[in-house]
Amino acid sequence: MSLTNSRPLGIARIGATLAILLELRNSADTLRRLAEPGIIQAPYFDWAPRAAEPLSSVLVVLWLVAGLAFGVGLFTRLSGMVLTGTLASVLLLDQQLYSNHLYLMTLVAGLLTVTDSGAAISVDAWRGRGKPSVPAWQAWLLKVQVSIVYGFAAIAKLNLDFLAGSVVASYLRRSGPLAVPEDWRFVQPMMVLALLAICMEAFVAVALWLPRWRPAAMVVAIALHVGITGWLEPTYALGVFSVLMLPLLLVFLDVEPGHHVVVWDDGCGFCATWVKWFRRLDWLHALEFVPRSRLAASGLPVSEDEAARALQLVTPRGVRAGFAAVTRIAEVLPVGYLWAPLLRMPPVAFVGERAYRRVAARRLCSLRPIVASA
Amino acid sequence: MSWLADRRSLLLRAIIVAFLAAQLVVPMVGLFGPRPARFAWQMYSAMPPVPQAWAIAPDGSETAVDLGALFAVQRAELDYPSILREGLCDATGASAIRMAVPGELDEQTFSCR
Repeated sequence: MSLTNSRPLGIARIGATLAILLELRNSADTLRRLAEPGIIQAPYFDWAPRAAEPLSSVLVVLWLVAGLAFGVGLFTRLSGMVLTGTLASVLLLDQQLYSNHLYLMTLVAGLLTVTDSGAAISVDAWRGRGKPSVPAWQAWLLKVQVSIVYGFAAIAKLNLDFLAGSVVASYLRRSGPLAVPEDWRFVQPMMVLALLAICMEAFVAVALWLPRWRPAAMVVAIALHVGITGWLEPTYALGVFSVLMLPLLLVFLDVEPGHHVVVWDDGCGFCATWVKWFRRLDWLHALEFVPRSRLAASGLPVSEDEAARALQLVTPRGVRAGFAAVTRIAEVLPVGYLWAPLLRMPPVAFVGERAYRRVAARRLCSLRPIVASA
Repeated sequence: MSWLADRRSLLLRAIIVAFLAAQLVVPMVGLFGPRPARFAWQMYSAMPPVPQAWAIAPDGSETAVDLGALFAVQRAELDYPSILREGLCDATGASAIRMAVPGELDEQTFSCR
């Protein structure tokens, strides 16, 4: 059975749980409204209990407690089961409680419960039940779920109403600093926005699976989520949806141990500061670090001279140096995977490389060969 | 104990296959019905009109019903006609309900029993 790094699942669990806890505000409000006199209830099943007290309060408390425990990874399987059951109960209690976000949260909580998402970055792992790797099918299941959501969201929009732009026009923000003026809501720009939305969702669904296009998919995904959260309504629900989806994209990253070896100049304080920050931000444990003084023993295809001139990154697909290496490192850090691919774009890459060389040439380091310590 | 591990592995695979099949089949079926359908990832794909309703008193007088006050939340996926048919009589105490969907010529009137 092939294995994969367990840490992306751990961060996905934390991100998903944060979104689930944020969603509680919406669902608790709907539950409270449903219990008010004069509100029509629309249960899916006649035999199901009605949304009323004390059931509503019990569900809210279970959601909160199980969500907090699942988020920190305390009794992850048990808290995940309770959380999934609670979300499913709320989802199926009444038709007015349905939202695609809540449905997705239920599925994601279920998947993260079935998988070993508590194997890393969790209280369970801290108590000695952690594992550095988990079966690869676990990450694969989450990847499929993410692609299905984006893929069907794109396909479902292939209808005349949406393509004509009327749906986009009606959901565009009407108040606040990002409000879109009524004068701009005419057919042509709305059609362009509609087509753009479909293309972006379809691209993300497919390109995430292709290593060559994955960095572009990450950038498109963040642009899509910033776009819908910033310019569509309701803002809060769309923000929660983004908080749910974006951490899940981490499972697509190639962060297997040994796939990214950073060779750095340990005779240089400036380089040491950068490496210190890379280590701090490497929450996925994707990077290995080899100082120039130990390069000879490592067997890496990098010379001491090259390591003294610029940071080197050795990956299965080759060696990158300088700004290109920094870019690739940022792409496997949880703080950079969504935006760092932008650093590859022509003007940014050119300016970045020039700036890197300039800084590297002026830094205060010893460029003399370092004798390897015994 | 290897037979036990084999059975667990087989069960796990069956569950995964069933889950994936449901995740593909349900949204595909949803593509052939009115949008947006539930459980089909059709968010923001369409904006069906919300019907208008009038409560008809025993003397024949009609009063427009404010649907916003009758629903906890108004979502595009709701099947308003069937929900209103079930719940509007109780909510308004009317003897009959008239319902019209903007853009559609046919109106529906149903009596409350």
